[in-house]
Order: sequence, then structure tokens, then C-alpha cells
Amino acid sequence: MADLPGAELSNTMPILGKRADSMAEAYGLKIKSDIPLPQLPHAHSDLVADVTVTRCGSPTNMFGSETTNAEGRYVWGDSLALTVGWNSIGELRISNGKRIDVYPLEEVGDATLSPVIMGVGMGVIMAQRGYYVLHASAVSLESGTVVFLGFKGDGKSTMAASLVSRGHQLVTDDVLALPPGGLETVSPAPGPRVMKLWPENLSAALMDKMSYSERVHPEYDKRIVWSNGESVSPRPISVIYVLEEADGISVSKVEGQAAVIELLRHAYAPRFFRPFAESRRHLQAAAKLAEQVPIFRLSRPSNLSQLPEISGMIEAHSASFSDH
Amino acid sequence: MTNSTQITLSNEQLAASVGAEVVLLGLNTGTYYGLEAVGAHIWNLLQRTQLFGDIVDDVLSEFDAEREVIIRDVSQFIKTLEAEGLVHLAESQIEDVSR
Repeated sequence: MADLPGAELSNTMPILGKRADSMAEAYGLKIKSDIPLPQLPHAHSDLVADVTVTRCGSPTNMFGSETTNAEGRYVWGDSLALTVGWNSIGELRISNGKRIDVYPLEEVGDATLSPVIMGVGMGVIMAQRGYYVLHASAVSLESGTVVFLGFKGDGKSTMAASLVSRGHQLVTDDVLALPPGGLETVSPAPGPRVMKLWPENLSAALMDKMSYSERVHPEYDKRIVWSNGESVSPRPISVIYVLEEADGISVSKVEGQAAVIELLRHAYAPRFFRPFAESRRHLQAAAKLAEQVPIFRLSRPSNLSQLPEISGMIEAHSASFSDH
Repeated sequence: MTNSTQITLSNEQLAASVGAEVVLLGLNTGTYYGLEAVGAHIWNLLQRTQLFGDIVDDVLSEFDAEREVIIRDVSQFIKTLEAEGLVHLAESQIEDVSR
């Protein structure tokens, strides 16, 4: 840990929400969990839970290696009763937008389970509840909520972390849940203000605003980083950026069918189970979102030294799409 | 393809409009397709018109091009839709004598 710039390992996990079987809050939902979800704000335990997370027995892996992908992940079930399993972690059984049953491997600790529950678990829960869920990071700027779409390794978290280090507030990392349409503006449900970052992306400036914890998984070098500030209601989305790597820095508008296809490509739940995408409601939600929110392709080099310049450009560019 | 070729939409697709353009999802392939301008116009026509000849006449009235070019391009487009499982083609049993 000593090699991480300007940061010391935080031995003080956020007090709120750390107890097992306590009530926590994320995406506007009350979550009652057997497994500690320490990065979430605490909710009053007398409230009725919207989602229950229950620790169960050993995983079953009913379909074995035939359906396991290159990352060691397998899926079975249907959209409202879905099992997602990992050979190195165990299984989540996610049902009806209300329940996550966790079947961990014996050697897997809670620190590994909680980001999986908050990521895949809650991402699928929100999709089951009818939200349009994007695989995205989002940050609250003066103009409103700015969203970054990208695939694994495209730099969504790094882009968000750079803006957080400049004083903006994280809305979510990984799962962006948008309520069913019909509104003039689109405000995301408030996600957990926790990120997963590679150590080289943990700048000293960022660590002024956040704390970091142990590895996401013992065999995986990414760190869990969470914001220390209070949660606020996310502002309406002002602009969406689709991240891509290029030699130079540029921003270009994406419109019409091309914008819809980008939203569909970056939808969260279909990554795990294709039938989530195979509904008219899903397709129409993407079309409506493309009409409501401007979408741009943000091309930039992967060079971390240019992050401050890119972040400054985003602050200026997004200001022209202010929600007020 | 002839004027009386019938084109019907497949049940194995979903479509959504965004402005004047269209996005399709082929349910058999899981592939998304984006249609602009003329392609979106033809797709929207297919919601109410099934005969190839009628589609050619409509496109000819809406877009500035030679009839032969339109016949060639519309035919190619519809054959592509068929190849992707988005439409079905059949020869109409009713003889079209209007042309």
C-alpha cells in the first residue's frame, strides 16, 4: 500500500451501514442486508426494506463450465429470476427487483462480496424494476449530471475520479439507473458513491476527497474508493459522453439512430443476460433518452497526464447544456 | 423482385423511431440496425404497404432519383432486410395490372 501516492490505508471504514443486517440506502431504495455494505449511507432500521440481501449456502453452478465465459462468469434463469455466478466468487440469485440471495464460495470475504452485490446485484435489481440501466459513471457538475459511457477498460472510473479530484461530486460508478420515462428531464437514481480504481489512477488530489480500502478481490489489484461527503440528490442529466481512445482530444455529436445504438450497446443488464434487451420497452426507453439528452463521442488518448486538460474541457463543454 | 412481391415484417424484430430515423433489433441475431433517411422511410412504409411496386412509387415521389436507380436500391435494401431476418418476401397471388 505504501506505493500509492499521498494516501494511507484507511483503517476507518465509514461507520454508517457497516453492520450486518442493517438497513442501507442506494438508488432511492432501502436495502436490508446480511452482508455488510459499508460504502452505503445508513437508513433507519424501522423502515420497510425495498430490497433484501440474504447470505445463503454454497453455490450450485448447475450448468457447469459449458456456459461459463472467459471471465469465469455464468448465467442462467430468466429476467425476473436470474442467477449470475463467478467461478472465483460464488453466485447471486436476483429476483423480482426485490431479492438478492448470495451463495458465496467459502473462502470469499465480505469485502469481495459487497462490490459485487452493489454492482451486478443492484444493476440487475434496477433493470427488473423497470429502470433503464447503463454501464456508466456519472459526476455532478454545475451544468447537471454528466455521464460517461464506456466498456471495461475505457476509463469511465478514471474520468469520473479526475472530475471528483477537481471538487465535483460522484453520482455513481458502474451502474447508472434511470427511472422509467415520461419526464421532461432525466435524473438518475442516486448510486453508491464508491468507485473501483487501479492504484495508478489514485491521485493525491483525489485522495483529499475520498478514502480507499483493500482490493476489490484478493487476486485483483483494483481498489475500492469511496466518497466521504454527504449524499445529495443527483441533478438531471445534462450530457452523455461515449468514451473512446484516440491520438488527439475531440468531441463530436452523436445523433439519431447512432445515439440510440450507443445507449443500447452500453445498457447494463443485457451484458449478463441478453433477454433484458429484447423488449419493446427497452428499445423505446433508449430512443426516448436519445431525444432528451445530448450525446457526444469523447475521443482522447489514454495518457493520464492529459486528464486535467480533458476534465477542464468537459467542464467547459458541458456548461453549454446546463439544466438551468 | 417484381412489383407484386409482398414484403411483410418479421415477428422476430423490434423497432423504435428516433426523429426521422429508426433503430431495429433482430431478435434472432441480437443485432441492432440503424436506418437513416431513405431506409427509415421505407421501413415506416412497410408498416402499411406490402407491395414492392407501391414502395417504389412512394420513394420515387419522395426522393429525387431515376426510377431504375430507385428500383435497384430499394430492391437491394429489402433483400438485405430479408437476409437479416427482419422481413419476409413472397410473390403476391394477385396479378398487378396497374403498371
